[in-house]
Amino acid sequence: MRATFRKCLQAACLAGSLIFGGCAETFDPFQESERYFSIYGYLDAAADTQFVAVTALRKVVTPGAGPIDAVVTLEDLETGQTATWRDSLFRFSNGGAGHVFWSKEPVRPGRRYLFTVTRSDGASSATTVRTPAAFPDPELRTNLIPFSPLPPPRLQNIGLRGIEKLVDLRIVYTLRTAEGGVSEPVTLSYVDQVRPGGEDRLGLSFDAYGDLAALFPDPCPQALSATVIVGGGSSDWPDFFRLDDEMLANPDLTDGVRNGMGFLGGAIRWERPWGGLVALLSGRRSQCQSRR
Amino acid sequence: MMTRLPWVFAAAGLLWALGAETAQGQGLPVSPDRRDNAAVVRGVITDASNGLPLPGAHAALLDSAGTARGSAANQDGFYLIAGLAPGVYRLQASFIGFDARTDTLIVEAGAIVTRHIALTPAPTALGEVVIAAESGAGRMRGGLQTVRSAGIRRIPAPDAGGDLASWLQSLPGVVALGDRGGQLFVRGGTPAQNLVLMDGLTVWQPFHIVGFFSAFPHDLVSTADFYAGGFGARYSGRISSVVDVTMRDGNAQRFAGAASVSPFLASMRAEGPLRKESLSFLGSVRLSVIERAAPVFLGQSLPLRFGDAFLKLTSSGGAQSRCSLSALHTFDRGAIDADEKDPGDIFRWSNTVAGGRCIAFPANTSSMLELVGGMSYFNNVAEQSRHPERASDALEIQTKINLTTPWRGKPLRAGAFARANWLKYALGEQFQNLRANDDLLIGAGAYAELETAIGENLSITPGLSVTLYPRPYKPALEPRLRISWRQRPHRAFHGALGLYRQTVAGINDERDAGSVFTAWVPAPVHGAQAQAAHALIGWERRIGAALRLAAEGYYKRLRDIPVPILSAIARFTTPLTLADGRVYGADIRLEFQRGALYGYAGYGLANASYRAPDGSFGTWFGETIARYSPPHDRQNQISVVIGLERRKFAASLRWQFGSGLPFTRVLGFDDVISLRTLVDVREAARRPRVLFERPWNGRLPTYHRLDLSLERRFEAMGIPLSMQAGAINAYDRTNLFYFDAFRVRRVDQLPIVPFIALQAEWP
Repeated sequence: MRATFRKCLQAACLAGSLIFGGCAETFDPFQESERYFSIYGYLDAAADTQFVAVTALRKVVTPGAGPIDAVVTLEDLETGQTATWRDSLFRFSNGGAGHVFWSKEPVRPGRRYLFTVTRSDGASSATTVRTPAAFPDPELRTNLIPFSPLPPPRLQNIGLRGIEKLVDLRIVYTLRTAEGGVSEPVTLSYVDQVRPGGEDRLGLSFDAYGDLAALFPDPCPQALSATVIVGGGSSDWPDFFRLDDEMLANPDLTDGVRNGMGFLGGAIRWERPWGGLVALLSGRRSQCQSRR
Repeated sequence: MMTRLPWVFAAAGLLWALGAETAQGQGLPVSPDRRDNAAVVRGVITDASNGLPLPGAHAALLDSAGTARGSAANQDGFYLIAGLAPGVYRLQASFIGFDARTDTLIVEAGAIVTRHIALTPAPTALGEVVIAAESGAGRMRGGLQTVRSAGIRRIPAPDAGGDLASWLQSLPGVVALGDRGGQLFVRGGTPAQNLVLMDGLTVWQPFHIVGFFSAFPHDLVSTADFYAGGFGARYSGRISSVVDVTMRDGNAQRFAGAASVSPFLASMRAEGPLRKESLSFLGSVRLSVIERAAPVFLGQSLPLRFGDAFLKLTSSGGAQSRCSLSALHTFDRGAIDADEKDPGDIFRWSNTVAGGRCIAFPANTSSMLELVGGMSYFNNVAEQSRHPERASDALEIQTKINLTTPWRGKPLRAGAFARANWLKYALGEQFQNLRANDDLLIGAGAYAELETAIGENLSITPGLSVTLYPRPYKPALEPRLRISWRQRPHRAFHGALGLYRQTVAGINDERDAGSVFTAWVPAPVHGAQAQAAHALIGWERRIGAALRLAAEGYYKRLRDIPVPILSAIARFTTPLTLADGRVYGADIRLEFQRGALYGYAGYGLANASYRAPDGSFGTWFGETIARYSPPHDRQNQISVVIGLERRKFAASLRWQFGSGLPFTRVLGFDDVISLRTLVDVREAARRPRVLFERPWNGRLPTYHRLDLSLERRFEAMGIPLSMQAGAINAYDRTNLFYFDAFRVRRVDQLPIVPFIALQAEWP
């Protein structure tokens, strides 16, 4: 009888320890994966400093966060020369923060580079980037008859040559505000309005004043400055205008961050002020005001 | 239509076969119940001490040869014994805890004898414990379990009494995702697929935001029928389960009342005769106090508020009728995952239900007629910082007539109903193909089910429900079948088959366990009505005088269930699509009752999976998602209840165990920079993103919890008092509710909650 009781007691203890203690389970909400870093940016063969945003995929970055556990290198695959990049933590107006790695090592057109982000335990994400070949300066043509009696639109033109894939074409204006101050930069993008204009050529015709007037409540906006930005990318640059969030999450579409997410492209960014356009817009503004 | 044909033919064939069987039976020589001039004895069995009906009481007629014919009283205490040959009978009414009563009846050919019986509580009554055992969790007949007030009370809840919500959660096959939110999943179905009725009226969401409580505390409930599946043709409009609650009437003999307070809830109840023995009232008001008590009892804030008010007026009328008016209002408000830094999404909902119900025994027929009419309004809002983001209103106005009448000596239950549903919703950006609308959906239909017998021990109840809707919704043709075979006196098999359709759908974003917002809309994807086919078979037996064992296996096939499209990234806005599903499992229950000791153990095994009929629920890194286990797929459940009453003490213990629920693992977080232009990544706008593993591929840790309570009854200044002390989650297990991927934190269920509850009753 006593032995039976002891057996029962042992069974109860075993069950109790299993139930109350032994079943303690750890919970890991994260799925182990071989994706370590998210990489966004581009290597600009026309810039003297390169910037690339790097996020550790398993870590939430807060403004108080310290350095990221990552070493970033860029290797020129032709020369084998490797440069190590430096990290900066940027704080954004929305309260967020992010790591941006940068380097002053030159990046040349028409080259292939290996961009690698390596964690201290050796885990790394990497992507191969090809920079496009250099292209001639774009031609900016202003309609020089600002006071023409002909009805609008009077179009301006931008001619582009030798660009492998156009990834950016915009004009950034500053305007006179109603209070007499200077506005924040205002950007009008034209990359999706460019037409092929023969072999190796692209062209854009646009009514700068009409575009500005359509966007802003001031019936006769006054432009203070205009800057043209043209971006030429390598042919593998995805069409970000057509990618929704779902597609952006697909590593195959953004092609090629091994063991990671995101996209690092190769580009040449060309940027010039367009004084002629500002003069033209001033004339058009006078016309606009006299009509009113 | 093609897929329905086999069911229609099967039902038609079965009805034909049974009809043929019945018709053939007319030629049998001695069967008195098949004579054309057969008589009927009917009536209502009540408790003589308070005039309340006694559901489950038994009425039996013994003829001069000693042959007995019996009937169990339904939820109104109504009994009907049909197909009687003229003669002298002894009518015996009995119920556990009451003195049996015997009368002699002279029944003439074709007579309809109405005999109401009032049973007197036995002086040596064994009390509620024994009554509860008769309807305990160990009884399961084709998915049906019936519970009375005392059975509900024996499941510990952190209050002075029990609650139907706690009782339901003690059953295998019933899954709650956590202890907040009031969402119950029955055998793979979703909360919006459960039909909850209060005195015949729909209650859209009767479960409170604190999961131990509902609008049905034990002291207001007379009886509750819970069908985990396989319900008969009387019920339509939902595809998963039915909780049919009959609220008790007020005491028609004398005034009585109660007041109680616990860390969760304060309540008052009053009842009594407005006109002695003919008109009574029962009223109750309950308000939560947990928001104020939590810092003391839990050491943390719990910003949850709820309450309800109930009123019922009952007129016993004359011998031929009984009518009641019921009204219920509930409200709930709170955040499931609030913490000190973030108030989280606030959810609010309320129900307002009002209506009447009459049962009548027309003098010249042998039928019982039930008329139900009323309205049920539900309002549900999800808000952030007091700004409503999503809102849903649902109003159902319904009327139905149910008839129970003998047909060829068998009870035939038939009825007709009409429902008008006004559904208004504004869902913001949550579902792409469902923004805001205002719909009126009117449906009308009828049902019939015939309880027939083959031989002495086999009972077969085929039924058919038909509901018509305006275009574009298809008519719902729903054949049902329930079978019971009593193998031996204490051993029986039960089975059920049925086809179910649901046109008014409750849409919940199942991707977010912390969201308890449900929008009620008419079939939201291409007008496709959700469908389910149920098949279940069970066996129960009594072992000796103290043990009861029941087991039931089930299979459900689901079609056209609206679910959100899934993806590898967390996003708020998503379209809805349709899922097909399959649920199968088994419940095993063992119940023990000896003297004052009660025990119950239940085990539930389940497997639920959804499949995309169109090939994909969405994409995961470019791959289609074709199949998944829904987030309520709890595959193993154990529930143990032990209760002991001794003199003025009552102790109870409940232990629950559940295997982990599916959840979606997080791959990581990053910031997306859209390179539509050559932006400067130092200044570019970044969109935070959560990347997910395939949906619901992970499992949360197992869940287990021990609840204890000890009650002591005593008197102070002549007032009967009861004090209950106990603890929810007595060994302070850290049970995970869900993981909030956006805020990277776990949301846990309640820690140990010690409580003391005090109740005063009078007289």
